[in-house]
Amino acid sequence: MANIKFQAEAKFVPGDRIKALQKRSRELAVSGKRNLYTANETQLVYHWSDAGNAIAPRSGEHKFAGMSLGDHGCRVDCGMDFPLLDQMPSRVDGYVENAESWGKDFKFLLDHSPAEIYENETIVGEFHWEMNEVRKYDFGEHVKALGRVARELGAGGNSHGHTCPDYNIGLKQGWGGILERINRSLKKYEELENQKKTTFLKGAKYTCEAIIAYINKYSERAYELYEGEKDPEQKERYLKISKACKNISTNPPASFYEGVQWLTFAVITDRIVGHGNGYGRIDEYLIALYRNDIDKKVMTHEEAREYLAEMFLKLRGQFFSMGGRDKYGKDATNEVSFLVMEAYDMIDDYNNLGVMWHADMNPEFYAYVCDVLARHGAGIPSLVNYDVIYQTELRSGVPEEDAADVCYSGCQWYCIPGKEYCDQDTNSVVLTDPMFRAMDNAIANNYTGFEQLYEEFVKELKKTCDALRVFKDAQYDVIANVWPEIVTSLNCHTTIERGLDITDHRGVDYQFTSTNILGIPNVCDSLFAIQKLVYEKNMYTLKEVRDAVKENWKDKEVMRQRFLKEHKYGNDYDDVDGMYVRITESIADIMDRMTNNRGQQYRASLFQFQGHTASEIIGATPDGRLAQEPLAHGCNPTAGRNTRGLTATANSCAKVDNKKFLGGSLQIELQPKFFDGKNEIYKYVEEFSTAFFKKNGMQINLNIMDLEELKDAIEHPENPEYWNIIVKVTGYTARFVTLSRSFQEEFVKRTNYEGFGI
Amino acid sequence: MKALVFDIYKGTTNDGPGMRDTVFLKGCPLRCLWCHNPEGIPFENRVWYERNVCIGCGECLKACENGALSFTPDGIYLDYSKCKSCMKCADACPTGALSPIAEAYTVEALAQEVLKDREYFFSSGGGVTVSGGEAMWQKDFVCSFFEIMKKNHIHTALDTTGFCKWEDLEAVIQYTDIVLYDLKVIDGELHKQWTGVDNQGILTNIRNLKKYIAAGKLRLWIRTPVIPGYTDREEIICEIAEFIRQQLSGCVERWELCAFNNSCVRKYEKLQLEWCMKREGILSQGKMNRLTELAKASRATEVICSGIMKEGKIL
Repeated sequence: MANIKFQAEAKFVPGDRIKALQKRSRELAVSGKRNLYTANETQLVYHWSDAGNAIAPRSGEHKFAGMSLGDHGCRVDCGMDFPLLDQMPSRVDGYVENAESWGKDFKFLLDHSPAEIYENETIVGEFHWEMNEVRKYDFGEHVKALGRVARELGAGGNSHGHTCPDYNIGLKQGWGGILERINRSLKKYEELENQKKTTFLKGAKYTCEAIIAYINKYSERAYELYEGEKDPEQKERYLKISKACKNISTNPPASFYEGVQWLTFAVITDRIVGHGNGYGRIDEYLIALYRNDIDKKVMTHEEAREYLAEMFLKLRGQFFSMGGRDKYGKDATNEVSFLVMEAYDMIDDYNNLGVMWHADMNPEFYAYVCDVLARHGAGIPSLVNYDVIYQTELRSGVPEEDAADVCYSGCQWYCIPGKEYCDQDTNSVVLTDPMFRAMDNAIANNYTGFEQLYEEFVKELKKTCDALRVFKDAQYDVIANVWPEIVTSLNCHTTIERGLDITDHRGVDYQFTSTNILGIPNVCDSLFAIQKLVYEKNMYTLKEVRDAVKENWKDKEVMRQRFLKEHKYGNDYDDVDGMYVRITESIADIMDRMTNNRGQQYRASLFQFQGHTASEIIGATPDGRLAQEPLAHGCNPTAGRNTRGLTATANSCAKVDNKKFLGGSLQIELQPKFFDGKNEIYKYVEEFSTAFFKKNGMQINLNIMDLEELKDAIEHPENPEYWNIIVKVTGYTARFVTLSRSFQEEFVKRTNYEGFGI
Repeated sequence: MKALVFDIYKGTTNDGPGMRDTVFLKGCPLRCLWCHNPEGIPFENRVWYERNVCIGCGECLKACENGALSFTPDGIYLDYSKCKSCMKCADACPTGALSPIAEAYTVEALAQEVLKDREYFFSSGGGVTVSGGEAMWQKDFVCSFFEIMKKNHIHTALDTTGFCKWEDLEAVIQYTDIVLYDLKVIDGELHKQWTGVDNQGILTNIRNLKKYIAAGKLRLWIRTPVIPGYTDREEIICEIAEFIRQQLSGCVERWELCAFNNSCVRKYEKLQLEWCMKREGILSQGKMNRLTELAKASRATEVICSGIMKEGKIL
């Protein structure tokens, strides 16, 4: 195999036990058992289709063939439906749309899910079925009809998880402590005769009890295995698992090892719900347990590293963050931050980690982070500018002490753990739709100036956003009954005492509505080219342009080339970048004025995770793009249009006032040969990212790989040499060979910087 | 004051310390057989033609008033003897297949352009590099440009062949932090054969830099292009090593051996020029390693080797 990736010497070499676990984990992934699916292209573009909910269930009556987003799922596909599907309480007793009924189903699913423990493991937990495979998930005809209206106007969305629990709660209280709080709260609301709240809390009680029983089941299973095992080392491991699971089923973890096992179960039970969340600041969670064990000399640093490595192999692509600042504005980096990076460095397998840079970050840590990123080249971790995301929260009205907690929680979004339910990354505005309508209106009204067209665009965008708002409000009214996120709610700050699910109105304090915007660079390039060629050079009429794109530029190649030749976003040209900034300001202005029925504002994200690949739904655009070509990826220039070097693209990206947005990351694909003959390769990553962040850039996802060489992997996925090629697809990472072909093809078309010019 | 800039590499790490913007000024008195920037040789601006991008629409033929363009089975033929570089064809070309090689910048506009990257310079210890062509032949422009850079605390590097008047070089280095100086070959006869110019002045100029370096006002890196069939001989490298050791002792921070590549072959095609090295492959890692070891063994200075090489056995 040619050098797809930079060849570097490993810093930490896993022992035989970890190697065996890696092997199993890799085999599961390559055979597609860890794949995550989305229903169809409409789902990708609008984040909503009548066909299904966001993440396509893999079994049961709602099963979809779907498109593979790659192996970043937590679930292990066992190739069969949940065997007791017909005995689900909601089928036997009748489906009731509320939290209590949901909790009963969850308890039944967990009670009948096996406790699987494999040889060599010390961190355990594996599951095969998710709730959306066994329980009805349907928003009803009223919501669906509003969804169709919104989609007609270029918007859509879902409400499914995509928030971040605060595991500081459970790590301190234990599941037993949480259950006690549920019981107290339940008693209170029963006395007060609040039926809605008691219904939620009964659901929460079922859920919490189910988790306790599930963890106990692992303890019992491990003990059985212990009794039957001959090998003394393996025997000891089973006993260790059994003891730990026994303790953490109700109590807070007493050691670092138990803490890691506690987190593993917390994430697994959360993922069984069927949706994805971020899981918070892992270095903050574990530091006290780590220091305690190290001080008492009951654990070594190396052992701690292995526990984390094992957890990552179990959980796969789950999001954790490190660094950032604490409540006092001080650097929150600690020993566990290093440890987490080391664990990844050792297993060289993907995990969706994010490091929150800030101006006062421990330089030694950031240098190591950049070193890991450069050597592994797989976009791990994502680099995030804490100082900007903190400002975004403040700007939305979050008080300083809560805003300070914000952390990297998913692909390209950020969240205050345990206090926020904001639909991050689940709503979509397809910006080309209002642009096309604006063009139609301008033609119909015989407008003669660009400003009139732009005003029309803003008006139409507002219309799209309004349709989204009406649709979302209808979803918000029913979500807590249709699909409560009870598992997540157990580790939130206000849910239990308020007797409200995190998804319910006021379940948590912060319930903004996040909205991904698809195609901003294309709309920018389109409007800029129209401004130049239609209104300044008078070469074409707006109607000619509209007709040409409707026909996918058929027989209009000269014209298309002229639209392509105009300046494009991403090259640090102030004229076209000015259009980009103007559009983002218009978006922010509309969002700032929009309020959901929870009384909280909308916030835009300059990013949409994979809708750009489903380009034919959108059609050709006046920037010269053909219908079959991918749109721009998030806030990055359309592939192939950034020709003036990496800093030029980064500068374009940083011209936007990022604190007005929640997400918008610079995605970079660097060729490995960039580092040829250079020492201290981490320095380039460090220096580049630091400068970008000082210019208020928000996030960097950096792949270091030769895309030309990677093309062969599309045709030869069976070649084992390609099995370990892990890429940062968008905000998440996955094994390249497990991605849907359309995603693979888009990936290799990206601009592959040869090292900032030869 | 304006200069023709035929390229700006943004954020490059190959032309001096840290991340840099490298500005390429048009015009060069040398005619190196292996020239990698042939579009930078003429001092005046021209149009060039990229066949792969051309869609054969014929808009350029309609726009040309001098009859310099014609259709051929291989695309457009550009008769430079008739072309007056009016750029009307490039304006008319919808694809950019025909385009001007360079763009005229005032000192101020160029300064504004590179200052956009100042954060990257500061974070990496980089700055701006002026290259060419031979930038020294527009020394007034370089002086003014560097003066603005220094006012903005930007690190400056001059990438030069050294083929210029000493007074000019002395004027420019007042504003220069580091010189990236090309030493291609010491033997004067070979230098003349391969580059078209004599190297006595070049060698004198570099010796003259010594007093500025000794005074701590200037840094010096030497670069040697390693060209297959020309400068890739051991004795050529040894002679340069000897020159550095004897004549520039203690003044050279590092000496970079830059491996040849033929990635510029497209540029020759775009200029409708034949190139004697178009079929020349890249050097092997083994050969470059050997030359690098030789250079290192001379203990002349720190040596690094750069560029694309092919893996494989030592030749």
